[in-house]
Amino acid sequence: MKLSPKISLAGVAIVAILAGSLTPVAHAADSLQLYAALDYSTDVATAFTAKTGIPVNVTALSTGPLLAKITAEKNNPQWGAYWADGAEPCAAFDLDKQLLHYKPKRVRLNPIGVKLAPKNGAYQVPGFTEMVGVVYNAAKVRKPTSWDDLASADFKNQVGMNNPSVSGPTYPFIAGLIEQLGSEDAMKAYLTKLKANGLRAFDKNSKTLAALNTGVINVGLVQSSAAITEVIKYKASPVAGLRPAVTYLQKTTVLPSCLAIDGKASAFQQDAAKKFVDFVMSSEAVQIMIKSNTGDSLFWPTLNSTFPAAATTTMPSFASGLIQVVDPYKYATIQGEVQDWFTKNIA
Amino acid sequence: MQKVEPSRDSFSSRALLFVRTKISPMTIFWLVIVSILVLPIILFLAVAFSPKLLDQGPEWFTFNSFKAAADPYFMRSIWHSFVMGVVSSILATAIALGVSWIVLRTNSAARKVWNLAIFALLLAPSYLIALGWERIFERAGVLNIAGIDLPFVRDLLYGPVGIAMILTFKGIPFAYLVISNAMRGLGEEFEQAVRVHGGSRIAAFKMMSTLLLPALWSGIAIVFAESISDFGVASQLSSPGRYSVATFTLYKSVMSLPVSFPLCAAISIILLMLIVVALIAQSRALRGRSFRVLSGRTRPITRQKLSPLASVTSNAAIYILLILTLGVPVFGAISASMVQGLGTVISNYQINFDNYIRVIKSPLLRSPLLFSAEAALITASVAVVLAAISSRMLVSTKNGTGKKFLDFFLLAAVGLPGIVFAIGYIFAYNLPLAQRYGFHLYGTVALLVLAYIATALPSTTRSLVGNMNQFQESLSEACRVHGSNGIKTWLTVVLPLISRPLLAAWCLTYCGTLLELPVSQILFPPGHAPLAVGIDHALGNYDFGGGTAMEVFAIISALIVVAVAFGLYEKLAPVGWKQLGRARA
Repeated sequence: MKLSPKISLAGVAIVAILAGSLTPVAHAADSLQLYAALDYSTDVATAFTAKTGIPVNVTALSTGPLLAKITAEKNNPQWGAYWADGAEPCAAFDLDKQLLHYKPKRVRLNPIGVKLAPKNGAYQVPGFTEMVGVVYNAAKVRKPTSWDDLASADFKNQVGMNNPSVSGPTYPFIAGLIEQLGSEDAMKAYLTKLKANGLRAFDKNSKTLAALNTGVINVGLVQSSAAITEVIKYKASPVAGLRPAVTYLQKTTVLPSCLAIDGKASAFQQDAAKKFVDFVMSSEAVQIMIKSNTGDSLFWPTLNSTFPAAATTTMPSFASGLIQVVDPYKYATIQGEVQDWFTKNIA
Repeated sequence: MQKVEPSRDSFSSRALLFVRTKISPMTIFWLVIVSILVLPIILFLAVAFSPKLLDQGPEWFTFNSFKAAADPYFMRSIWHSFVMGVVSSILATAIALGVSWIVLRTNSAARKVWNLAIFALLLAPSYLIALGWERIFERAGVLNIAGIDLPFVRDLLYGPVGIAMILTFKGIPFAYLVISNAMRGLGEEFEQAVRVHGGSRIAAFKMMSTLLLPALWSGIAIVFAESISDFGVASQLSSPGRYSVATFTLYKSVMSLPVSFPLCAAISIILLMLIVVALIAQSRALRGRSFRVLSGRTRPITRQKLSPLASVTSNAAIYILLILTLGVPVFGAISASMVQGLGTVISNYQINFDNYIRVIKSPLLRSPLLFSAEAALITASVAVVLAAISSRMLVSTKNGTGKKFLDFFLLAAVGLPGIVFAIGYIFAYNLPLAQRYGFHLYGTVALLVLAYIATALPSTTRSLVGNMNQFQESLSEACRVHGSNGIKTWLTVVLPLISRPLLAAWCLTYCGTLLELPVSQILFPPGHAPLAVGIDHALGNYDFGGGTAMEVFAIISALIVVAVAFGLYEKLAPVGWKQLGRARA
């Protein structure tokens, strides 16, 4: 079948018009491309634009899809800055020489902030949460007191946790177990013991909390911000039979939120990203993050003289002996193997 | 000597001649198919052999990813997927055949309910169906609260039986649309012929089933492909400790560091090989037989008047099926969106519309819903046109190689999980070379819609194949002999006979696109979050009630669109268009 000349030309014209109309929304040369997995990032980006005049395109997704996008774009990166919980992905990017090292000026960090920030400036840490916050239904079970306690008969078939293969923040928890138990094998033995005691693995925080709400489990090992959100939610709207409470077991691993700059981005992107990093590492931005009133707002800031949201519990300290920081560069290299083991043996 | 300049007229004439001779409609069609379907799939799969090609590893050519995919864990998952695909496709097609017969050929009262329910069933995301079943059987679930504990059934649900059951439920509407469209075109002449010659009702049903073979195989193929690529059920009910399926392992590989696309591509290639098996089976079953029964002389059928016992039985069958397939997910949605304090409902629960009111007031719903509705509208309209051409090609006796090529890639697009397909789009449209020449499609709404079209095209095409297979070529040949051109022939002869299936395909595509998640979340441009991304975001932020309320709103809005589309068809379409498949009371 042949087309008449008029129809052929019309077809070509339509294709040309369509092609012309496909303006590159995401790649506008005058916008910072921010890939972010933290809910307050949009509010912070809006304030940054208001202050500097630099527009920000926020691609807001959870950590998994963001990492998939970044990996798929590797031969032609489209992001200027990446902001999410967990230092291991940033460490992996840095080991792969994908990051621009940058240290913002005039930033004073508290002791935990100093410990979390990499010396080479590969990424910045404006705040942190903890992995894990142990959220338990006080109406059904007693308060767990230690990691070994979770493997006791009192908690048989009661405990659930996230799968580190799906939940970005959960791998640091596993890394923390390796750190404090002394070896990978000890971690595996411990989780296997928990599994034998009825441990259930769910995809991520939301799924684990859903299981807690529906009574499938009565103890959830989730990110501290998610655990605190759960408590706030049920305090506001009490439900008989469900009384969530949070506790932290010795030791709890500190989970930094990390902001990195793409080392292969254009000069404009890198320049805008540096300004964005400067802004994020300011008390003004920290206040925006806290007031953003999302689950992610329940973090502890790393800047001196800044304070967490009122709902967040007391600022953790090394002096308490309750928290630990793990080296993301050490644990990034075994992440795939450990997650693979978890998926095959625990999930 | 005076130099002779070519006149503008001769230049434009040559340009026109070039366009006319070189750019045929089929050239444009193939250009579109290669751009939106073939290129992303090929590039993604190529990474399995050549990670370096797209900067996904150091090797230019290797089989290492296949070695990793040969791990017993992955192979077990793939085998499980194959078994689930076979079981669910056969069951769904068999059930859909029976339902089609009851709805189209009998006076069963339940048929009207089914016609309304089919699109709701089509719209219900597979994970919602799974969730509804979980709500009933989980610990502290409905039965538990009522004092009934069925751990045996719970174990079955979180295993192959539960996964196969829900995949079957999810497959029924796809198979039904294909089979019912074909059955409408069949008329009742063939059954009457069997009966006149002394054949029993069973013999008549067998005859009808035989004539419906292309549609039945299409149904099996599409449900098989949908089942092995489904992630909703896998995410709810599958896990390595119980029963892992390939999509579960694939998504885990894509979503966690270190992301290994070569391994994902290798697993995808193995999944595609399973689809080739389905295609070969389909091809062998239909080879050398003609099923062309659709013509302008197809008469309205007369509905069989069922005996009281048969009537009660058929009604009961339809209602039980609806309760199992729709009632349970509706319960899941209601319990998640309206019951405050689910799971602790023993002594204190409330049913209210708080989540719905909150969602209506929130701009987080409105703009994603409108954006997704617009995208679904464009997708459905373009996909139906492409699907009509594709389905004609698939049933054509010509186009040997092109037909096989198209058939494979159409089914490959269904068989590849959505997220893998989306990553293929990044590989294809984020190439530095293309961008150097100003071809910036990645990160635009246009690319998202093209990906939607490509995702929708296989199922839309399959839903039309049954009808196209019935179409008698002699009708259009006669029209052409009498001087009509190709387009006019299509509009005046083909379109009237397939208008209703086209409308059904349009609705199917619209509904499927509205809540599409995997492609949306990887390809949506900043500031244009589609509905599914918004819902996923709400659920991820522990707002289960709000997220599910958004989902219910979306489903209701889609049902309204479907009702309006069919209402307009009934009101505006010429009487002759509506004649096909119509039954006498």
